[in-house]
Amino acid sequence: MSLIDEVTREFSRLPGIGPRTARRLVHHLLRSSPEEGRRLARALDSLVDRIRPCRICGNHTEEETCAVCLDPKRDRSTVCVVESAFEVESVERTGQFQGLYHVLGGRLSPLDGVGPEDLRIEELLRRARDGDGEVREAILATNPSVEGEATAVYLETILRAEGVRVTRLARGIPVGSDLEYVDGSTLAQALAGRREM
Amino acid sequence: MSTVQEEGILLRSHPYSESSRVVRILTPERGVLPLMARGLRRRVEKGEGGVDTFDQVRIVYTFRSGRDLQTLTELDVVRSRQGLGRDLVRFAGASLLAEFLLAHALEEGSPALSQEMEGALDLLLDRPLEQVPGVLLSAGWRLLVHLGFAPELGRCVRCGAELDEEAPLLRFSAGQGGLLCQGCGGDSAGSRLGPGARNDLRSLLAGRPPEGLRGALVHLALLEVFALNHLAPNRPFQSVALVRAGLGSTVAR
Repeated sequence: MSLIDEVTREFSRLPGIGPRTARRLVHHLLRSSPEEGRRLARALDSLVDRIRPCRICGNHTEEETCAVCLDPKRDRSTVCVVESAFEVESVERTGQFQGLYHVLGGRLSPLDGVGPEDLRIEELLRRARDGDGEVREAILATNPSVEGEATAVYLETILRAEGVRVTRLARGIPVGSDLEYVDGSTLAQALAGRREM
Repeated sequence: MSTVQEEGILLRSHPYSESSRVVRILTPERGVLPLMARGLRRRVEKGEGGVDTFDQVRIVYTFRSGRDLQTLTELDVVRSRQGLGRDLVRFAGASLLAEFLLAHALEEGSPALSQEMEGALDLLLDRPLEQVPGVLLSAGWRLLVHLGFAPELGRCVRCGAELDEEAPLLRFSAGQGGLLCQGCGGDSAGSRLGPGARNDLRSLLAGRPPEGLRGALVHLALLEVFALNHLAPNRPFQSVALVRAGLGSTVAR
């Protein structure tokens, strides 16, 4: 296999990049200055070497503890529990959440061989237990799939036993959408979760 | 190549590329069918609603014999079973039933088996919590029967002697496929079942879970060992621990 084919194959392993786009990227790099290619290689190398999970929440960080956990302005009584570090970024982008995070590293899925012991649930419990009552609310932000829902139910049971208030992200109609195009299941959940005006 | 339309149950799905998924759907005509579902991950963005594990789906696919992976062209959710995720025993139970079917690598269809699974999932979803353990155990045994592994409860699986229904304790040998008479059971491994437990097992196999089933955890262990022996998956059933955890708290409640 030629070097061009090898790099093309590596690019095409990335999400959202098909073989044709991968080839285009390779040829773009070959047309660019050698420094541009080296910069990309150095950045990828550093990414792999330096990014690790935060020792407290499991979010991606270059240090031992992530910037969110270190920020003294964050509300330490509320923890948003997400499946992956990618979702931390999604919640952060809203600018509406001032608490801390906990990254589970997946969701319960026996069919994929993922049980409670494969997730960072013990670490979450430790935060709830050892924080001297500091964690008062856990917002369960696992995905609204059957597995995400089961994970939330599992967490609810064990967190409530620790005296933590447990809430779940609301579900309903996406902002800017049209009722006509909303699927039945989403609409049913929006109806069930309606609130007083 | 033919275009086929069927209704089935989504047993498993995993991402394939940014927008596609490989799904395994239990169909009445072709058993557990692996399908490439292009663009399935974009359904929500297009406002078509998501599709989830255990959903009842209507599918259209192109079938080419000799291919490992068929191509899905249309999918509609007929009935969402997302509610299974709102209770641990219901969720883990549904997962265990799906594991049985996936372990068997069912390549031929069976309308009766599909119907059994469909009914079991609906019961798991709808029945009151206290009935869920019985529903799950009964469904588990019934699926094994449909797959061709009915345990023998009327005669000794070693010597063939008719068994006395009132005999105090009889050995259940999962490996040999059922109950052993008192003479044959002495040196065998396996749980010893009294007349009450044997009657409960008969009811579960008949699809009539006894009211107030006692020893749900013992019956779960029996079902697990029997399924492990006969379906022989390449690893233990992952859902069992979660069912056990859930049943522990259900029984406690």
